[in-house]
Amino acid sequence: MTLLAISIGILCQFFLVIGNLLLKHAMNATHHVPRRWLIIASNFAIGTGLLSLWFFLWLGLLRSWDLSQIFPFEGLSPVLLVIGAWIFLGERVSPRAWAGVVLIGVGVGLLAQP
Amino acid sequence: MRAILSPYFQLGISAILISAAEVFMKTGATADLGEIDAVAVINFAALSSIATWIGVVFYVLSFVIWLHVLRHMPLTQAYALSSIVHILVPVSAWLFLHETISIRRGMGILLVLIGTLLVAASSANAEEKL
Repeated sequence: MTLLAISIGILCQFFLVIGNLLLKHAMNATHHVPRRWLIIASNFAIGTGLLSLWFFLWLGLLRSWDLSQIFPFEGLSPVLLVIGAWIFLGERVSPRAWAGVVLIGVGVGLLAQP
Repeated sequence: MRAILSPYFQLGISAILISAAEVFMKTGATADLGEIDAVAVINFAALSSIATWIGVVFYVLSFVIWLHVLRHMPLTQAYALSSIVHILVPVSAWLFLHETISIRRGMGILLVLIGTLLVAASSANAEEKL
């Protein structure tokens, strides 16, 4: 794969993960009283925007590359979640999870080679 | 009837729908290649293909089923079981799109599959807290 395609493949997973989290926060916030509509609306708008971006970038990748080569990039989503929780919340990452992160990284690396 | 209500069964259907969605989206994304810039980063042109829309419908359906599954199954378990898409999607690509899966690509797919199984518990925990 080209460097551009690999970067887009990785960027797609950032958009997917952050978009999903924002929509989750928007939905959860609707259960809290008083409802902070500005926060709900902005989470919803940015989340939807990121997921749309993911969708069109994904279709762009699918045009040029095999599905069986692109799809494993989705394995980066759980990696981003784990590393995000580690960096932003100081969550401990188990050795087992680190092993998974490494395997996914190596696996995507194998697929990304020309 | 009991089998249909089983969250395991529903998760399987959800994974099959995702595979079908990806195959249809791939078909839509590569349709009408003629006049369109083949290296366009953003692929709006795919929207003119019905296959893309079928893919979207399947994706939405799989998401609705997934939300339902989560009410009857811990997130950790659901994440681990949903790793099956990392086998189902490449196999569908080989079966329906006639893609060639080289040894190296197969190895990559296998490593990602094992990796997602190992990381499932942590990523479920992370998703709940983030």
